[in-house]
Amino acid sequence: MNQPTNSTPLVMSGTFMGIGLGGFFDGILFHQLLQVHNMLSAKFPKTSIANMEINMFWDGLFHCLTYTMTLIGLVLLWKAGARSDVPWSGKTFTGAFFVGWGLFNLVEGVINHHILNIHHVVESHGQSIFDYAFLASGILFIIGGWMAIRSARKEDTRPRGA
Amino acid sequence: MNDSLPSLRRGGARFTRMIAGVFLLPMAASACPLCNTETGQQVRAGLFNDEFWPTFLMVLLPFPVLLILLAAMHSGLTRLDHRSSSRNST
Repeated sequence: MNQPTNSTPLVMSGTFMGIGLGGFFDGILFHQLLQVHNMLSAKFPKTSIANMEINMFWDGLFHCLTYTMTLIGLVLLWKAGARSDVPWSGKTFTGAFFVGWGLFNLVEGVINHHILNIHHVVESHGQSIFDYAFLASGILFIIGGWMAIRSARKEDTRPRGA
Repeated sequence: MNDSLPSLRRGGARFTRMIAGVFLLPMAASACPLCNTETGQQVRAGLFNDEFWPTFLMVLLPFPVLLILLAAMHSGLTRLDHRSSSRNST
């Protein structure tokens, strides 16, 4: 009789890390390098030092949360690594990472860009094609990631300890 | 043990002075949320007002939603794993 396999711990750790690092990617690329938006740039336009600093504060809170998600992912990965019933699959982990990143883009995009309107991808354009492209990237990442997880499930049926 | 107490106290006082210095130094800088400057006051007024907690919740909102989705994903995956394990064992 085969020992049962359980890829869920690896998928969950990858998804948490995808959410966390996807959030960092957003913060580093859009908030800091390109400076096309900040957390509350629709509410506090970057027209004064004070407004920029207010945005910086809320960017900091956002980064605290992405940091926490990454840390949870790391702990889960460590725990998954100690289990012999978890197939150690790079494909599963990468797929889960993209599912997490996609979930981040989709949820953050819908809530912040479309429902709350606290910022948009390119603030100077307001709600624009870039906001929809951001959502589309989320959907593509989720589909691509999920497909990778599914195909890895078929390949990795043997537990690491067997 | 008792001899080390005064030196510990001296060390503590030095540390307190150092920390106080760190907070006083930015006063010379043009702006920061802790600075005692006009911009610093504007930043504080823009942050710590009646809007603070509603804004805090707005910034936080995507994360509880993500956690709910992750919980749903976890229960779905666990069910899938159980199903495929029982299929493999028969």
